[in-house]
Amino acid sequence: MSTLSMDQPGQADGAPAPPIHETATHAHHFRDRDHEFDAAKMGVWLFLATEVLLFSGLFMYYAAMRYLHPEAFRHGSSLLDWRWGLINTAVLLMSSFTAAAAVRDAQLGRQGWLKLNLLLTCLAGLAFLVIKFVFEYYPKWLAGELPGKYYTYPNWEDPNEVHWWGLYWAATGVHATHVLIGIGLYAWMFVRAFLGYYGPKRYMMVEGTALYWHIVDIVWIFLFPMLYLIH
Amino acid sequence: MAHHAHPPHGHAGHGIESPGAAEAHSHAHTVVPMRVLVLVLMALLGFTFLTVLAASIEQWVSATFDVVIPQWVNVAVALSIAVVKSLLVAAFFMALRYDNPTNALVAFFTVITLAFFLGFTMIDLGNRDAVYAKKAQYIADGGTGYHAAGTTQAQRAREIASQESIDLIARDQPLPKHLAKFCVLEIERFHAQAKELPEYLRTFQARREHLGKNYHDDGHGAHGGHGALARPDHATPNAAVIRSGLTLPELGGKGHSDEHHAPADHHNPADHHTPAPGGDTPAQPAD
Repeated sequence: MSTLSMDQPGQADGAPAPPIHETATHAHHFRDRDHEFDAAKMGVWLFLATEVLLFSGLFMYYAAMRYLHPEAFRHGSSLLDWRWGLINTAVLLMSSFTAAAAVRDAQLGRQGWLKLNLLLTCLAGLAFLVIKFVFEYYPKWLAGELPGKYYTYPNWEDPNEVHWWGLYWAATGVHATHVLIGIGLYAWMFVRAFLGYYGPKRYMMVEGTALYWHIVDIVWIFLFPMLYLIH
Repeated sequence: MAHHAHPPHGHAGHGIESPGAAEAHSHAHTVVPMRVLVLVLMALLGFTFLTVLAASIEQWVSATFDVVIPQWVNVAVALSIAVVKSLLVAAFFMALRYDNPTNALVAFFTVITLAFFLGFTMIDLGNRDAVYAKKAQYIADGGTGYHAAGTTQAQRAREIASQESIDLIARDQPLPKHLAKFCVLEIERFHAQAKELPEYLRTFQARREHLGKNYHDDGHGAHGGHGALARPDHATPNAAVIRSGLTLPELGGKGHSDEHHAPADHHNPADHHTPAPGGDTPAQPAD
């Protein structure tokens, strides 16, 4: 017979402690783990609704300014290289795939694949930012294609092009900030996966972060044609 | 919310497709098959290439056959593909297809809210002309003036450009590129209509011929890095321009002491550096 310690419930006779995702229980104000899971997931969806409304202001600015200054936006858009936009779109789509696969791995308890997919998602997010900063932000910074009073680009063709660059930096900047936060979350989950936090009974963070990552992906799905392709 | 109808305990031993027996009955725990995820990724990448292809084909057709494709075609194709891609992501990657329908409802109302926001703002913008015609007498200097009664955007822009050109030529200043381009176009327009050039265009033409083609090369060349001249002051946020906007004229005057300066002084950052001809002290808008 085993002896149970008050300090370490469930650990008996030197047997290895079960992973956290096996022993965790629901909070006392929920009926059961399902109840807690559903509430948390709906909370994530409500948060995503506010995220969409945050970006909708930028989409609104785009629509209004494009309507008022079509020539400025046409020329501003022609100064972007769609190839970097295309590459970054592919990178983000693939990271969304690995994020969805990570949720699946957690649900099925495949710890090795879970860690791999969390890492790949994190790295894809980093690749997105590196491409963005090295090949887009930095050259535009040097060329003076900056928003507001920092706009010093000499070869503009329409006097309202400063509005285009204001939109470009605000929209891609807010989006890149979201990607950066996502990278942090995936790095954190990668570490926690090694500590046994996620498994079939406990994967809300993996799923919630994946939902967030997908909404960031959807925002980019719209930003890419709006900024790079509509001319 | 059918799964809440289940008893809270004693539901072990349900299907094997769900992770963890304790949660086997819930909609929210469907494992999306790997085959679906891979197919959706392929479709998303395919649509991405399709949207780039569509934009390229459109530009090619427009250039090769010399036809003007209306911009709404471009916008409609690009955004339709984006909507399809988003639906794929939401349905399969975000698993709304399999999820508790409450979450789909949240997503649906988010989209509805977004549609109201975008739709009503665009209705407003699209009907400004009808409103401005009635309010024209209230538009004070400093607003865009694009929609003032009887003035098209092009006419207004031409007025601004010619006034700026007159000011700069009168003070023997180099013209920024956009104004030089404007003057050349105006000269061609007058020649095409076989009209006599106005004074400032004659001056510009003569000076341009005298100085050569680099006349307008401001900001880099002989005229030396005068950043303010490289940008149009009526659209540059950092120009010290008082913008009273769509306010009553008597409200627009607040904040600067000199009431007699000409409107051109508002528009011209160069006025802060160069005295006006004729010995008059140029008006300085107070900050």
